[in-house]
Amino acid sequence: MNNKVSIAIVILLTLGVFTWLINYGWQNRYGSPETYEIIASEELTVGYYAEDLALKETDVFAQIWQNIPILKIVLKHQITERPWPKGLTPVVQVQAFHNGKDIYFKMTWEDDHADTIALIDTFVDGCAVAIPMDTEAPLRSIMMGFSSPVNIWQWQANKDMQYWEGKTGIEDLDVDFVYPFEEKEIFSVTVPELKSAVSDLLSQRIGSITRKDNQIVQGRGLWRDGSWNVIFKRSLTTDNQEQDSQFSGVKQTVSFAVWDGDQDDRGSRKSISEWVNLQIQSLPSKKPADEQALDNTSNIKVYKTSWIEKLCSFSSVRTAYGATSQNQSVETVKEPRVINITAKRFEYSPNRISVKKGELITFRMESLDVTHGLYLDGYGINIKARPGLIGKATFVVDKPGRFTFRCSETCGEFHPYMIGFLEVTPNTRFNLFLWAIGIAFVLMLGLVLCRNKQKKGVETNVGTEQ
Amino acid sequence: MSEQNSNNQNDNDQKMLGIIPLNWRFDLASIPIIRWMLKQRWFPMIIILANMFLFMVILMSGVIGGFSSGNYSFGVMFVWILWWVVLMMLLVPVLSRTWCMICPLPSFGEWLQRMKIFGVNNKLGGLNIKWPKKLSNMWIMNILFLITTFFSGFFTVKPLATFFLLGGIIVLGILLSMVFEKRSFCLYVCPVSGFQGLYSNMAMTEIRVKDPAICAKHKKKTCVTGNKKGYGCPWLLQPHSFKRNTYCGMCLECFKTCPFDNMAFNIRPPGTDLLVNEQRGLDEAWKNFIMLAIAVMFYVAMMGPWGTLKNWVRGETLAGWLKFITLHTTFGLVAIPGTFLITSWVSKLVSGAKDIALRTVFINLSYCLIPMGMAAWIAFSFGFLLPNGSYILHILSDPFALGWDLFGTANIPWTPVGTGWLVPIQFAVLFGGYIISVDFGYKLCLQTYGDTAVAKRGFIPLLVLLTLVTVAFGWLYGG
Ligand code: SF4
Ligand SMILES: [Cu+2]
Repeated sequence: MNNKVSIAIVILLTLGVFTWLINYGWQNRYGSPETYEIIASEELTVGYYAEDLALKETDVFAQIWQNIPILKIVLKHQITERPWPKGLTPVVQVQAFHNGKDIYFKMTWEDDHADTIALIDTFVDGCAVAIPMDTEAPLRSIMMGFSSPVNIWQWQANKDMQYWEGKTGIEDLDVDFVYPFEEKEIFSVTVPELKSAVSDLLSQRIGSITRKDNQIVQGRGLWRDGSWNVIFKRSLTTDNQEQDSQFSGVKQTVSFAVWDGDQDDRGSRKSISEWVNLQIQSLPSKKPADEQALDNTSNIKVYKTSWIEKLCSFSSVRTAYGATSQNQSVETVKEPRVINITAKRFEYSPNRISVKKGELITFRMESLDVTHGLYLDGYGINIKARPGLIGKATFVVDKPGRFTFRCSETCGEFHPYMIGFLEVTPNTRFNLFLWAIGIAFVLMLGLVLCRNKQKKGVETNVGTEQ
Repeated sequence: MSEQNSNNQNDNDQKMLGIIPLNWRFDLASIPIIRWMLKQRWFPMIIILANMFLFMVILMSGVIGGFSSGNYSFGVMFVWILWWVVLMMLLVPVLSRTWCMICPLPSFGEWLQRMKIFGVNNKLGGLNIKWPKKLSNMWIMNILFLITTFFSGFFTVKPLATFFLLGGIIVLGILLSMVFEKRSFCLYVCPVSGFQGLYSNMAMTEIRVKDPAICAKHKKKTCVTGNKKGYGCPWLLQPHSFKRNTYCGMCLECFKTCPFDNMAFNIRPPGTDLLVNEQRGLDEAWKNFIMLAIAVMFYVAMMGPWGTLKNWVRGETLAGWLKFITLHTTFGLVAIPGTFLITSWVSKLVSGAKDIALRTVFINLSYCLIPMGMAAWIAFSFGFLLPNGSYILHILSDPFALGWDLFGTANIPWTPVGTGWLVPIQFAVLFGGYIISVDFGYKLCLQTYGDTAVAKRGFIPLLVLLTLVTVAFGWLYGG
């Protein structure tokens, strides 16, 4: 009896402790990193219109603008860099078109007072369009900075007055670059000759701005009925790909900024937008060619071959090998084949990528939720993609076989199982394996069959020989 | 003439791959210091105690770790990267059930029965009920292990789930030890036990008697009853007539209780137990199939690129998870056995043997899947170890994720090691498993069909199946 009681106590105690511990763990649990919310980017269509604007005063309100759809873009304070914000211009209306040669933007926003004179403590109104130099970089959040240099076209009211109307207000002031009265100092600074109301600038990263040597953007603004109306004009493409943003493709990214002099906006104190996707319509005649170009760049082969097909193609792979490698040497010199990979918990898409040995490829990875990585077995390549920032690596796939790529940034509980396959054909390793198995099979079958024959007479040798 | 023939045949068949004689043995315990150690009461108890400390840390990190990402949890990483991998790659294939020798999981229950840790007390406490005859097989373990893998999407990644699994095993061990005699839990319930038992047939070590004649004369059989020096076999076996590793937990009590020093700790060629026709049955055959199915499923779900399946496995939606367990169960309990049944049937048909039951063919031949399955598991384990082994260094220094840095390795980043060679290594392992499987497949055919000519015919379907299975695994791992 006593024995049974103690057994019961032990059992109850064990269960009790276990339940308590589980409960404790449950109550104090904590989970995996939370997901970032992704703001869908706005899209601005840059339609094709056979219209050429000379930026006369009337052009700001030309008939063409009536036909172009308006995109209202919400602005917010710029808070990454000092000085901190004071006022906010909440909305800017944007329009854009191109005529095959030039691209035009129009920005319209409410401002109850036109600030056109820059003094020591008064600041001017202005606006800007920012275009990343790398057309590949979709920057989901402007606050996270840019992963490539950005071309900035900045229009300022005082320069507009000076350039278009010859009014100088108080001398040639360039608030952001040449401080008033600098000229009166002993070592005076040369004020660059004003070639446009728009400053064409290049920013390597947040907080670094340089004025470009060749100022090629034109612009004109008019203040009317409590609103600024500013148009920008520049050629779609230029010869200087290093310094000028290009609108050669179908897609581009831009963002907009507005300065309100009343609110002491200047420099980085401004209202800014998130990145906006530009959808550039192609010229009517050029269309097919463009579409083809697009197809080629986004051409990713996702491997769908079944294992049976693979087995069947096994013998042909070897014979075709010589031929393909010759072709490759021609291809290799050219542009890398870009493979766009999106990563989300816990899958890559595409998850099986097939490439030919010797190809030059670029992995370009974008994350749809948290930060993910991509480590490629055998090649040692490691890419990291924060949401909003692209991870990239370009390399020659010179090792044949199937290689696993795996997530290298802890992204949640299944992170170690976040995996994809890169298949570098021909898969010589697997073929070798198949050969080995095949030979072993034949050998062993032969051995068995031979033994069978020996049974008739010479069998005694089998044991003694071995 | 015919007798001579069969002798020769036997000689040849008693050699692994025709080279290594299967009856070769070396008794480690013939080295005096090792025999002395094996006979001490503190051995292997001190290792169990050290191991228990480790498992306490694992359990604690599990309780504290909640659902956080398992790759920085001591429990998850230690159990699934280190323990599981070492178990699969080293302990079982080479050292038989050495894990059970040092396993701390049933120790609480065992101590409660004995009320002693180091000492001997053959009057065991608890209810000491005999385990029911009907359940004295591997079926419970088969089912429990299969069910455990249903939750692999939780156990292998969430610290609290790992705690639940290991803690659950300990609790069950205690409860059953209070009700049933000795190590009934280990023999018939522990999910880790079944596959260790099955795969330890391949192992290169064994515990056996040196001279059966001595045992025959020894009427008291102290290895079964126990004496002052040690307990009667806690695994409810007859150490004096061991033939197979499967159910021997290597607790070493028989070394202590044998008054004639008649026990041996042998090194032997791998796989010899596959040919021992004792206690074979459908339960063990199914263990085989389930292990193969799990190897495939684990690879597909954990090392495959298919996100949808991962979502099923980690139970994102109940419907998805149900799909996964249905698929998995059907694959393991029906599809694989079905394929093997067909192969056995064809084998019997081709062989022309009339007087042998299909059931016997099916059961006997299934043992040649063991080397294949082991190879698949070893190859799979490399896929865990090489990429993720570096986590171990991190978690050793910061076991509770509290920002500690005990050994200065807490900040070592995740570093895959030699993953470029992963696939070739896996291919090599699979190839090795294939060869050994085929070798034993032939030997099992001979054993089953008796006549050489009949066996050779019956072997061909088996050879074809083994080849296809190997190719399938090769394709999965790197094709
Ligand atoms: S059977 Fe299970 S609980 Fe028992 S010793 Fe082996 S692993 Fe440990
Ligand atoms: Cu990830």
